[in-house]
Amino acid sequence: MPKILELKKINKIYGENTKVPTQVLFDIDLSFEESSFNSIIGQSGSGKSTLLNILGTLDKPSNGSVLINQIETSKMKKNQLSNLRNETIGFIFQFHYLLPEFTALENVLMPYQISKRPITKEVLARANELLDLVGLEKVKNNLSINMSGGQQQRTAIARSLMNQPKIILADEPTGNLDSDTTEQIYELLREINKKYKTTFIIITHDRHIAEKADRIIEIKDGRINLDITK
Amino acid sequence: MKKTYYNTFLKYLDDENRDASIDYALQLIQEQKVTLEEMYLEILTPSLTEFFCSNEDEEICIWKEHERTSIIRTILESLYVYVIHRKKQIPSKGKTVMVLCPSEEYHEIGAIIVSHFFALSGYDAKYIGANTPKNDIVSAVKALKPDMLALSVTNYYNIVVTKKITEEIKSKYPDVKIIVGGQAFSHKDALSQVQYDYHLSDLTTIASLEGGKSI
Ligand code: B12
Ligand SMILES: Nc1ncnc2c1ncn2[C@@H]1O[C@H](COP(=O)(O)OP(=O)(O)OP(=O)(O)O)[C@@H](O)[C@H]1O
Ligand SMILES: [Mg+2]
Repeated sequence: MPKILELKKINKIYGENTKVPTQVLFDIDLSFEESSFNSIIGQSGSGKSTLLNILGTLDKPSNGSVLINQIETSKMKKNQLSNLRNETIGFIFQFHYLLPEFTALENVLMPYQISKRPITKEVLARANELLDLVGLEKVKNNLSINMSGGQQQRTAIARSLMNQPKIILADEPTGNLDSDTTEQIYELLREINKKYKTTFIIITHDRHIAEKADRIIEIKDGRINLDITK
Repeated sequence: MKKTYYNTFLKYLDDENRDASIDYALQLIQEQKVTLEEMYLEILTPSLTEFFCSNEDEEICIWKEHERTSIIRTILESLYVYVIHRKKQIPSKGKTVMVLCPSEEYHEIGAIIVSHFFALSGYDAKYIGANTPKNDIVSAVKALKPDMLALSVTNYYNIVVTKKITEEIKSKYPDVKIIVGGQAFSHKDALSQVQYDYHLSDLTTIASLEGGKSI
């Protein structure tokens, strides 16, 4: 299986040029196989979000390299990098950052509006298809502020899929949902993983999500403490 | 021959005929048609691990699985009488082993069987239970001072807590030998994550562990 995402000797030090630099990641070597379903667990403050942000090139490591699709990203120009990111990675966060005064459908189309790409018939059809896939056919024209937490998270998932990303990075995607809704969202992510062969890397505190992943990675004090694959 | 016994036993289980299943299993031992070891490994274990539910309805399958497990459990408890009998015929090793499953691990049939095997090999085997929290394990080791700690893990997620348990035991009580086993260790890299002295895939080799050293 080809490696879709790779970290080599990653260190992250916050406040490097201040009097109180704090190192939160230490020499992390980690790689992910295409279309795998991975979970990252670890105590609060262990460095999970920092790691995910570096994986998604939203943040830069202090040193070490990040390879996306075997392409080394550290020397890329800002706009080159954001193009590569937009083409390959989708993000889902605990708080979904939907725009409240827009409908679910409009929120899903938002990445197109922002990047001023035309919303063609195909794009619209895809947005509708994704909203159906996440089970929102009935409420897709409701304002997101009028939807339940689970429905809003489904909208965010549909939005993350708009660019047909090969990788989805999720930071506690079910952190604010009840356990039944969590289970449904998880099933949905698994379905997307099977259907589109999307690679998933999910940070979770929820044991039930982690135990169903193909691989469990535990971060402890900025280091990989455990890494097992089914 | 053994295969026929197994098939007959399965037939009773498939019918969820509790009394007939238990009766038949105990009779096989009583009449010395199979040894205790064969009963554990060739009849009881596969009746669970190879359990295949053909029913479409998942709820029914789960219910069948529970029913079957409960029958096997009753048989295991009843077999202990024969374990005591065999224990009297062999010298005691004078060693204690604590057998348990870590927290959130409810699969305990394997652990119970393992405790019987230790008993049959002359150990003083203490079966602690399923779902044992880490702190309770540590205090039990402190209180009971066993020579060995046997951990049974089925669900691979429980390797996470097993790693913590084995690290804590090894740092506080380095003399206690740790033996690990169960289906979780059939996963890639699982073994390399935990601290252990022995991983046994074949229970019949328990007899050759002595106070932790193989002979
Ligand atoms: C019975 C059963 C249950 C019962 C357990 C009842 C009980 N009191 O033990 C119940 C209904 C509670 C149950 C629940 C669940 N189960 Co279940 N269960 C089974 C089943 C059918 C049989 C397990 C069993 O007893 N086997 C017989 C024993 C004797 O075999 P064994 O454990 O492998 O032990 C042998 C060796 O491994 C070895 N050994 C074991 N331990 C040790 C320790 C040492 C030190 C040594 C040396 C050797 C050793 O010795 C034994 C020799 O015979 C299996 C199917 C299967 N393939 O095994 C699923 C199975 C284990 N369960 C599974 C699952 C997913 C679950 C649930 C998560 C389901 C759910 N969604 O609710 C829950 C989890 C509960 C929990 N938190 O632990 C999966 C596990 C997959 C995984 N994650 O790896 C299995 C494999 C089913 C499947 N194919 O999906 N389950
Ligand atoms: N921008 C920042 N500047 C300085 N320190 C930071 C910054 N972001 C995070 N940290 C520190 O880095 C460490 C790791 O934080 P991170 O957010 O990666 O943890 P986490 O594992 O995601 O925790 P949680 O489970 O609580 O979300 C923490 O000690 C945190 O305080
Ligand atoms: Mg975080």
